[in-house]
Amino acid sequence: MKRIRVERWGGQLLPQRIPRTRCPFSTEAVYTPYHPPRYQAYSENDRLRRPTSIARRHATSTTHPPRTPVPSSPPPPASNDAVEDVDIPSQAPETSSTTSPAPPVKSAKLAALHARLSLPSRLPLRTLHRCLIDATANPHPAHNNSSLAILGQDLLGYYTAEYLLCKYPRIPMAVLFAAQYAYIGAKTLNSMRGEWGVEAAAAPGAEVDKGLLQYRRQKAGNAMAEDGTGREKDATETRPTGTGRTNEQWNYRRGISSRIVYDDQFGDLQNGPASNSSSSLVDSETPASSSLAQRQTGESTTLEQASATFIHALAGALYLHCGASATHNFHTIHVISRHLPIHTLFSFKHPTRDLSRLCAREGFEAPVARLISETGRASRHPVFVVGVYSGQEKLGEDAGASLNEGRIRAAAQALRSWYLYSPMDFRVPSEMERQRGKDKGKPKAKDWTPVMIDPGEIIT
Amino acid sequence: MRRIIQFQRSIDLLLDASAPGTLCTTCQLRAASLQRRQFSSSTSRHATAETFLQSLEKRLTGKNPQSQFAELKKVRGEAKKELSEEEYEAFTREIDEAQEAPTPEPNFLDRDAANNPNYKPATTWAGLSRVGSEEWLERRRDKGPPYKGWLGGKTRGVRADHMQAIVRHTVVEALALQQAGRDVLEICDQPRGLPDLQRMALSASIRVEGSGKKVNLVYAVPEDQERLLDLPAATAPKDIVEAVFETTEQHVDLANGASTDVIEDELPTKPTDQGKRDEMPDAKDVWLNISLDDLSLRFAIIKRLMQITGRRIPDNVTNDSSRVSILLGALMTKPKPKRLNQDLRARNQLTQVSNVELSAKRVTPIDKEKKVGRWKVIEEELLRRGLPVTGHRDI
Repeated sequence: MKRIRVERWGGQLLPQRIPRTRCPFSTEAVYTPYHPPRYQAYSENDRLRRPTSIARRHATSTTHPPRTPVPSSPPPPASNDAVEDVDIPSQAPETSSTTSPAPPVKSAKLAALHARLSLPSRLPLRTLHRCLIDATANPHPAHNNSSLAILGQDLLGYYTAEYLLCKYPRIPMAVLFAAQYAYIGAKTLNSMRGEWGVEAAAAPGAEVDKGLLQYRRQKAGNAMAEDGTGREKDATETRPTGTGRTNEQWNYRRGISSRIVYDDQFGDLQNGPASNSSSSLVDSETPASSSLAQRQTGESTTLEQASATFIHALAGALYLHCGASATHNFHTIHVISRHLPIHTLFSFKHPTRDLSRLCAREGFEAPVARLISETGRASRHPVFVVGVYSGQEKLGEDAGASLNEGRIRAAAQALRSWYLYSPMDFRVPSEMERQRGKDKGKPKAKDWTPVMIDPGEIIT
Repeated sequence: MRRIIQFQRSIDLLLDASAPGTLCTTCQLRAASLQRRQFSSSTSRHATAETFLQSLEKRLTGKNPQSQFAELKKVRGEAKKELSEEEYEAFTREIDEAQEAPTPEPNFLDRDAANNPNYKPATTWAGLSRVGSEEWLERRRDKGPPYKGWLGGKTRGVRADHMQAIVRHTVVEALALQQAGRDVLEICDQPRGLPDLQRMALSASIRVEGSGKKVNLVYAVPEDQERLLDLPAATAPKDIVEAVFETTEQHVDLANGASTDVIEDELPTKPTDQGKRDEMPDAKDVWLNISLDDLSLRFAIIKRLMQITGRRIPDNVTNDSSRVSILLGALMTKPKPKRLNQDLRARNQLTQVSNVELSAKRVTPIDKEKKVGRWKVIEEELLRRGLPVTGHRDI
């Protein structure tokens, strides 16, 4: 299967460089270079304006590749980080020759942030400034970080998931969801933003320092609702609708498989906890200005969400300007370097049962719990160290306050040690892409060897 | 507070003067303010014997501007006949300055039932003058005698590398006058003409005998001496700076004199490369050691240099400059910038660092709020509640 060239599509998110010549066979309207407007505070007109030219370009890139290549567009200077076959394409121009160059971005905070994160010099300050502007601060898609965030979110999610799956091939799905959230969830990215020293502006505007994160703040959850009778957070929540499931009117439990298919990378609903659809089940007394409604219409957002969008956008911008290696490096330095005690994410209901079924499936002898040592049986706080054995091999051991507790804990420990098995040296699939870019002209260092794939977790 | 002091002053004036007790305080105050609007006077005048000038002043503070103007013309003519030249000049200067001032208020003494039997109090405020605003008070305030400095206030940006040639030029001029037996201060009096100035000054060779006390000027062309001394008045000092550095094609011949006791200064042939100091050919800098112990010479040279460069030379430099080199050194040092912001920008260190921002003004709390974007919210809320945005209400 042909390798998908994300950089080709993603290049449309960057500002225009040169006007595209018209393909004689295309049916779309002639592209006219747009003049980016000056930065404006949020206004109603901006929200309703639709960026038609960008939408059209999306369409043509996927369906009609241009037959006439754009002349005189020199490829960017090759650097160590650039992927070998990024011919920065006609769809990824920077500033049009007919538009006047935008004034340089001057901000001490911004320059300091760029240096503090050791971002490559190929990532311009202007793009970093764009990453800090949320869609609620400026709805114009060329000036906010929403498009870059889409790309970056997928990239970060991909890198994190492949890391977790390659490192822990037997990891259960629920734990994988939890670990994914722990590494790149909104809460974690909010902490990361604080660790980086990125502060948020009180209100967005053109006069705000360009090194601040700009977004429109949402009313606090414990603020009084519009009607003045109760608090916003106590507003009646609707049953989730619009999740994409075919059985949602029956209020089925959202199982793991269902989450894999319909929900996002963390197993959460795509549109937030409760989506406001036009279903008749929606409570008519829900205040229109509830915080959820505001977030969905794009009027305001929380600091957590804005931080997450910023970091996603930064990853996306890094990918577009500096290539896959730089982005993966960024991911390794900032995301994977964070310590996660993954064993704490497990929660078992009946570990002994699960362990029995696991041993049966794997063809081990049935697990037997044996007391290894104990102390204080007659005292108030005895300690029983119990080991679970399959034949002569100990699968796991743990201590408990009673024999039963020790047995259950030991079974849980055995299951954890099974699920958290990690091969000594593991490789991730994206390594091949980066390797290929670096060793241009040289023989490939390593062929790809398949990683271990597990039959799956025990489901009871 | 200031207004109260001035108010008090007018009251004091009146109390000092031998004013009749029949005038009410309002009229007394009006009289005091009228008196204080005289030409550049801050102390009260008790008119005992009226001189011609005083009678003229009285006529000029007339009733309406049109009659004032006609009166002024008549007065000028009379004054020209009556007064001496100096007095007439001073008088016209005063009148010009007074004319620049705003039109004086009408005579309030007529608007009183006690003085004027035809007086009827007004029923509307149309045409009445307004009293008591800030501008009204500002107009009445005594700003002291109008003073214009002779330096003009603007420094002409003379580069340090040009300074040497300018100083040498001035020294030559001053020495020429001194040796001709004329008053050295003449170099400051009139703007000097320029056509051959540069060539003449540069072509003069300076001979120093002894330890710098005795200086001789030898001219390449003998007629230069007369011409240097009698130059037509033409242009302003600022043009000297430009003219000295026009590239001349003339090659100046050196005046060669051989004398073992005499150290001769060899001249630069022409101003090279707009005055690159290091490349000045063969300048032995003998002229730098010329002594300025003669104070008249020193003052004349310093005054002339101040005129040319527009820079004030402080007293300590004047005191210490016993030789031309010291004076030149003081002139070549750039003045310290007055503000830290200017100093930092001149040094160019911090401007090139991208994570440093320099602010021209003091960063106030409002600036900080603006940077964060909170100020517009604060301002909007204050306006919505009808509160003053900055300062106090009603003040």
